[in-house]
Formats: sequence, C-alpha cells, structure tokens
Amino acid sequence: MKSAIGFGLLSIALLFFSGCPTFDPLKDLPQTEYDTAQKYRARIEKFHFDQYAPDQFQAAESAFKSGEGNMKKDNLAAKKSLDEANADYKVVMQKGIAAARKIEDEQISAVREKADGIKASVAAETEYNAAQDAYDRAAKLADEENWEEAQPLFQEAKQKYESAYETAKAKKEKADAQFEKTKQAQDALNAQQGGAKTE
Amino acid sequence: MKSMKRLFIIIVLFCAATVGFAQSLQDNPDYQAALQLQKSAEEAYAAGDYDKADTYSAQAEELFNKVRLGSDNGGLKAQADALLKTLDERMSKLDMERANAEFPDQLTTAKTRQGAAKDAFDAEDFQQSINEAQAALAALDELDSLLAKASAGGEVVLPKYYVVRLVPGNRDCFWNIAGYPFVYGDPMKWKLLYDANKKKLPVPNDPNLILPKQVFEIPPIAGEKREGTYDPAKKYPALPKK
Repeated sequence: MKSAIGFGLLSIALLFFSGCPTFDPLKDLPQTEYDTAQKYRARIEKFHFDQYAPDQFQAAESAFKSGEGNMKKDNLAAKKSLDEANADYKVVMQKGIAAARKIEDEQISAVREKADGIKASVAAETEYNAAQDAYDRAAKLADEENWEEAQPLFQEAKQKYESAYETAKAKKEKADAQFEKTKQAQDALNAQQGGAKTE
Repeated sequence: MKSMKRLFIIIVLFCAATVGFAQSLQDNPDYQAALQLQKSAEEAYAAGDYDKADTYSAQAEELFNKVRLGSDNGGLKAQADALLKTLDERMSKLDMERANAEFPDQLTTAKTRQGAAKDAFDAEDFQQSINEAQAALAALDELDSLLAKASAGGEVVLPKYYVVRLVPGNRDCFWNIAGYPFVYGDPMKWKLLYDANKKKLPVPNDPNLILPKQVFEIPPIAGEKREGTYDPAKKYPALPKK
C-alpha cells in the first residue's frame, strides 16, 4: 500500500516536471514570418515583379499557402514553409527590382543622351543637375531594394532630364534665330560696303 | 543736261564716300567689337551656353547695325553737302535782281527750298535735306528756262495759221505740217490738224488731198500762245515739249 502511494506521487511529480502534453495553438505561431511574407506579396503585386521571376514566385506562393494552412495547426511546419516562401519572395523582389531598374536605366539613359546631345548640362544646368541628383538618389534606394521610394525618383529623374532637354532646345533655337539676325546685319553691312572683307 | 550733270556728281560723291568708308571699316572700333562679340557668341554656343551666345550675338547685331547706319548717314551727309554746294553755286550765278523782278514766285520757291535744305542739314536730317535741295535745283532749272525764254524775246508765240506751200522735194501734207517744230513737232499729231480743217478740204473725207494756198488753223495743244500766220522769214521757237 505504501509503495502504491509512493508510485502515485512519483507519477504526479514526473507529470508535473515533464510538461503538459496538451497543444497550445498560439505558442510558436510564426506571425512575423507570415507578416513578412504578406509584405513581400503586396510589394510584388504592386510592381508586378512576379513577371520577372515566375518560377520563384510560384514556389513562394505554394510555400506561403502551405505555411498559411499550417498556421495554428502545426506552427513549426508553418514557420518552415513561410521561411521558404520568404526566401523565394526575396529572390522575386531582387530580380524584379533589377529588371525594373534596368528598364528605368535604359529610359533615363536615352533621355539623358538626348539632353547631353544639346549640351543641356550647360544650357539648363539647374534642371540637369536636379535630374542627376534624383537619379543618384533613386539608384541608391534601388540598391537598398527600396523600390517604393526609388521608382518615383527614377520617374522624376526622367522628367527633369526631359525638361532640361526642352529648356536647352528652346534656348538653342533662340540663339540660332539671333545668329541669323546677326548674320543678316553683317551681310547688310558688307553689301553696303560693296563686299568689303570682314576678317 | 543739267540734271544729268547733277546726277553724275551725286554718284561720284556717293562712290567716294563708300570706298572711303570701306577702307576705314577694319579700323572701326564698333565693327571690330562686333566681330569679337560674334566670335565669343560662337564659342559660347559651342559650349552649350546658349544664353550667352544669344546675348553676345544680339550685341554684335546691334553694333553691325550701328556701323551700317552710321555709314548710311555718312553717305547721305556727303550727298546733301554736295547738293547744297551746287545750289549755292547756282544761286550765286543767278541774276537775282532780274529774277526777282520777272519771276518772283519761282525765285521765292527756290530760296525757300534752299533754306529748308540747309535747315534739314543742320538738323542732321540728310535725306530731307537732299529732297529739299533737289526741289530747289528743280525750281532754279525752271527759273533759268523762263529767264532764257524771256531773253529770247519775251513770251513764246507760235503761228496760228499755216498757208499750204509747194515745198520742193517735200510736199506739204497734214503729216509733214504737223511735224514742223513751230506746229507740233510731231507728225503723229496730223489728225488734230486734219480734224480742225477738214471742212476746208475739197473732199472732207480725204485728208490726202490738200491744195496750195489753203489756210489751215493750228489748234493749240499745250497751252501755247498762237497768233498770226506762219512767216517763213521769221524764226520761231519749237513747241515746248511737255
């Protein structure tokens, strides 16, 4: 009898110290991973980055669905899936930013070449420098994968280069017209002088 | 003839002024400054500084125009000066007393225009001075002509009647009569003569049939005074050309 009582107490003590086997759904919930995945998904959707890495995006989406499905059921498995999803989403983001930046760079390069061709850096120095500044900031933000802020700055850079080109073009045309007027004045003087040498 | 001479003098003076100015063009500081500005404008343009290029070029244009207009004034001034000298010379040779007595209006016109030419010259309005001087010279030409006519026997009077003659080798006909200097000096005006005298013809519709001793009336065609019958022994002036 004594030994039976002792065995019972020992069992209770073991149960107490070894932990309760009942499942707690909020314990180890991968909420941070889930929120990160949602942010990735929103950014990818906003900028249509999925088109630049469709395979990784599909893989990420599958993992995300799996992770989401296991949330509060099997948090460890959910975390693992969401980690995998986030890794793929990150690749999609990186590839998307790289591709979108390449497009922006090409467009900016074209408009900058046009502006350089008319020497807008001199003729419209302020606008040209503002365009360059916007581009530098955009490039830095893109390097930091902050496409939300980089993208409008790339747009701003393009507009400012275009504006610098238009300003320079207008000034050049004005100077051209003035040159023509001056040439006419010089020709009139030379004609009056009976073709006197001018140089 | 006098007009031709005057025109020749003006052309010579203008050419001399032009050549002289051309020679001095290279020494003209405004012209040199304009060339320098033009060069600076081209450099600024090449560097893309279109604002500066525009400004320099506009300044060059202004100087080119200044040199040209200065030259224009120089040319006009020389012309005006030459005309005023010619005018003074013509006035000094004019018989003022007689002109004032016989043709005071024409003399007043010439003197008034001469005064206006001098005033315009002093005001540096050389084109106006030239215009006035030319008008004064034209008035003097008319005055000279009137004085010459008056010297030749007063007012010009041409014959009013012509008696058809038998001119050896050149038979009288309306064509030939109209061509006589004291008639119209122009054979083409024969029909005026014919129309005025056709009733006197044997066959009025035939202008080719005229007879010696017929007396034809010569209608005035230019306001000339006509009286009496043509006298072959008398010298007549030609009908003045209009």
